[in-house]
Amino acid sequence: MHAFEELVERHRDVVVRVAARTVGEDEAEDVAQDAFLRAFHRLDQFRDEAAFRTWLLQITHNTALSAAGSRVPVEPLDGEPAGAPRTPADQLESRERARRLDVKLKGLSPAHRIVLVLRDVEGLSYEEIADVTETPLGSVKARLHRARGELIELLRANTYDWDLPA
Amino acid sequence: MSDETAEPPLTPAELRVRALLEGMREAPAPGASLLPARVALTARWQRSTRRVLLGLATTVEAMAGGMASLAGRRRRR
Repeated sequence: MHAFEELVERHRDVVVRVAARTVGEDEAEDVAQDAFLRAFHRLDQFRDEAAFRTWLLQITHNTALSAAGSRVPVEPLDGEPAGAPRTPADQLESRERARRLDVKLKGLSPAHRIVLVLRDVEGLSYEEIADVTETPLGSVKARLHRARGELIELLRANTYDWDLPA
Repeated sequence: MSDETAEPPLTPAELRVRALLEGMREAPAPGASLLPARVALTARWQRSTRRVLLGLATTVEAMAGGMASLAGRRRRR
């Protein structure tokens, strides 16, 4: 049990962040807990230590999709986003940008959002994303390309200065 | 031979989007500090409950088997 607690400690941030991008921050912790518990009860089925994060994120993704599918999504326009505190000014700017970016991300379809989050936020490889989303590699690449294009369009349609090159 | 897993070249706008999204990784997961303790507690509780239920099911199964056996003997008499 102690070893599993250490695994939860090690992976909790990525699991909560990925869950939050699908169900929103209010429900992310509950989804993360549910995903960890599902993983715990299936640990005997797991063999490849190197792919633990991928396996765990696959469970997280499926748990988050189930949770999101069971209720009407709510767009959080206000509230405290997660920020990266540096100086107070940086902190404020970072929070505001993260809040606005999160709102824009929610404008993407769940299938596009998850590949973009796994690739650009979490830094997973194409193969890992294909495993997590149970999607062929070619589809992952195509979705990622479309998702980036859609997000660029969404950001350009906004008055906030995202510092986007033409 | 082309590498199917290689990252295709990104446009300047795509690179900017990637940089913006990478910034979200720095953000700490909100309210996750108590998660390991909560998960461990719930997992222990679920495991104990499973054991109890499994034990109960085994006992009920054994009792049912015993009663069926007794009923069979009575019918044979």
